[in-house]
Amino acid sequence: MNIALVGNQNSGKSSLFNILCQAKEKTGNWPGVTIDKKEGQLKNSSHYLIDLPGTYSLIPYTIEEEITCNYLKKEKIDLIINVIDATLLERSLYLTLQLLERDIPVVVVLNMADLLEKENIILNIKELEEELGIPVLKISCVNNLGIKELNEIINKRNVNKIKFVNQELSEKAIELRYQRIEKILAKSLVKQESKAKNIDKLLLNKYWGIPLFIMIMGLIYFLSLNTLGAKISSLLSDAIDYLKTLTQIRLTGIGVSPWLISLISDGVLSGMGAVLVFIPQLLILFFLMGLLERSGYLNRISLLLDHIFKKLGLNGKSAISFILGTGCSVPGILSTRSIENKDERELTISLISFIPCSAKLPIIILITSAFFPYNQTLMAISLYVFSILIIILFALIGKKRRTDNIFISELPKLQLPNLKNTIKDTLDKVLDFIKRVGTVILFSSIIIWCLAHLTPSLTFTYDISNSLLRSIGSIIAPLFYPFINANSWEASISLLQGLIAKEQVVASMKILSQEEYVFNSEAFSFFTPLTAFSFCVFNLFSAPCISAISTIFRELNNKKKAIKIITMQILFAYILSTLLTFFGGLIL
Amino acid sequence: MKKLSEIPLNKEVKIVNLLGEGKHWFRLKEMGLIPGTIVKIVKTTPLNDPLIIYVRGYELSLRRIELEQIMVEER
Repeated sequence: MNIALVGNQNSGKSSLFNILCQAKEKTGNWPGVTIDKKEGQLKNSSHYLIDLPGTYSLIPYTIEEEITCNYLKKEKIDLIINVIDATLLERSLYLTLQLLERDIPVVVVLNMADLLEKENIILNIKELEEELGIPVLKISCVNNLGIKELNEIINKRNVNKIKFVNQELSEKAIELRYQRIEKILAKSLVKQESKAKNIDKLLLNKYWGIPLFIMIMGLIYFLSLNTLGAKISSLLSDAIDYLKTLTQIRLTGIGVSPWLISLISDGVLSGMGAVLVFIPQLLILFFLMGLLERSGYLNRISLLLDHIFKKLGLNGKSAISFILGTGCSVPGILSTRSIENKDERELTISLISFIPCSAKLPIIILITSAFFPYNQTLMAISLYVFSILIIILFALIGKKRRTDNIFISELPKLQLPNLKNTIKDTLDKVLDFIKRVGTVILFSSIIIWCLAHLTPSLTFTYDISNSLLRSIGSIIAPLFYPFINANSWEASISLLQGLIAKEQVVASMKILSQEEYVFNSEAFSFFTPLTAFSFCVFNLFSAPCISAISTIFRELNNKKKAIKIITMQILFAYILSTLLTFFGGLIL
Repeated sequence: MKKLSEIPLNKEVKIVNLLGEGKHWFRLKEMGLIPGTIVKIVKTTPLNDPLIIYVRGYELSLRRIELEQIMVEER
C-alpha cells in the first residue's frame, strides 16, 4: 500500500514519518524541514510511506506545494494520512475538505494533541469523525501517543472512501468550504481562547527586536566558527596530519612505490582532510540554525527584516537565505524555495554567493593576520560589511518594479525545539553535504595531485615547479597580473582552485609555499598589503565553488540565466580588485 | 467601512471585502480571509510593517500594503 502524509507546514508530519518508518531511503535536504520527498517503508510491514512537503491547499502557491499537489494528482496512492496540528484545527480543515474531494481514503491525525489542554482547547473527536465521515485520531509524536492505534487503522485497511462532491469553482468553493468548517467546529470544538505569546512582545519589540537578533546570530557564529567549532576542527587537522605521516611511514616500510604513497598521502588523504576539517563547524552551525528554525524564531527574523528587504526588492525570507549563506552557500540557495515571487527568488540566489561563506574565512584569516596584524578583526569585519554593501547595491540595481510584492507568512507557535529531531536533521544535512561536496573535493584533489606530480612529458616528479600544474599556471598567470601586480603561477593556480572549494585556495598556497609562513616564501613574497587585499577581494566576490555553482544551475532551471550570473560575478570581482590595486597604488 | 491597516491593536473587526485580486489574494482567501471572517491585529514589528493578525485560530503576518486592501467593519 502506498501511503502519503499530507498536511500544513509545521504540522509535525516529519516527526510522524520518523516514528512510523524504520529507515529513510531518501532524506530531506535543507532548511524548510521537508523540501524534497522523504520516502520509506513502514515498520514491520510492506507499506510504503511518503512525506510530502507541507501545503495549505491543493491549489499550489509555492514550488514546494507544487511538488505535493502534483504527486497527489499523478501517483497512485492508497491512503492519505492528513496530519493536522490539533491546536490549529479551523484552518487545517480547509486542506482536509479538499482531500476528501478526491477519490482517496483519508485518515485525519490530530498531532500535538498534548498541547490541547495547555491551550484550553477541547475537541469532541466523536463529533468530528461523524461530521467528516472518516477516522480521526489524536496523537502526540513527542510523547509517542496514539501511534499504535494509527498503525492498527493502517493495517486494517478498512478506511472508507468518502467523496465530498464540490461542484463550485474557485472563490465560491472557498466560501463553501469554510461554511462547512464552521458547521463542523460548531459541533466539535467546545472551547477556545486566543492567547498572545508574551515572548513575541520581546522578540518583535520595537527597541529590542533587532538588537536581540544581532546578539543571537553573533552567538551562533561565535560558537560554531570561533570557539567550539574551531577547536574541534584544529584537532581534526592535527589528526589528519598524523595519519598522513603514519601512512607514509607504514607504506614505505612495506615497499609501496613512492608515487602511490604520495598519491594516497598528498592526494587522497589531503583531499579528505580538507572536507573533514570543515565538518565540526558545519555540524554546530546547522544544529544551532536547526534549533532556531524549529523553535519558530527564524520566522520572526524574516518579519523583523522584511521591511528593509522589501526596499531592496527582496523578501524577508531572503534574510534567512543570506544568514544560511554565511555558513555555506548551498543551503542558502536551497532555502530560497520558500520565496514565492520568482524575481525575488532569482535575485536572492544571484546575491547569496557575495556573502562570505565559512569556506572563505581561511582566506580572510590568512591575509588579515599576515598583513594587518594590528587591526585584524577590524579588517575582517570591514570585508563583511563591504560584501553587504555590494549586495545592497546589486539588489537595488537588479530590483524589478513589481506591483504584486506579497509576503504571506504564518507565524508558527514559539516552542521548545525537539532535540532528538533536530540532531537527526543536522546529521542528515551534514551527511548530504559530505556526499555532495566531499566527492567533488576528493576527486579534484586527486586531479590536482596528478597535475602537480606529472611533468609535461608525463613522468612522475616530486618537484612541483616542473609539473603540468606549473605550466598551466604560467599560462594563465598574466590574467591576474592587474590586481596582484605579479606574474605568479602559484597564485593563479591557488586562485583557480577556489572554483573547486574556497578552502582549497589557502590549502594550495600552504602547499606551494612549502613553509610555515606563506607570505615569507619565495612563491608569495611579492604580495604587498594592497595586492593581498585585492587578492582577497577577488576570492570573495568571484564565482563561488563548484557545489554552489551546480546548485545555482539546478535551482534556477535556466542555463542561460545561471551562466549570466556566474560570468557577471567573475567580471565584477576582476574589475573590482583591479580598480582596488590601481587606485590603492595611486593613493598609498 | 475601514481599512484593516487603520484598525488599532487588539480590536476585533469583521471582513467585509477584499480589494486585491490574483494568485496571492486567492491564497489569502484560502487561508481564511473571506467576507464575514473575524480578525484582529495582535502584534506589531519594529518598523510597523509587517503586522500580525489573528484569524481563524492562527497568526498570520501581512504587510501594510495588503492590510490596506482588506476592508473591515467594527463588530
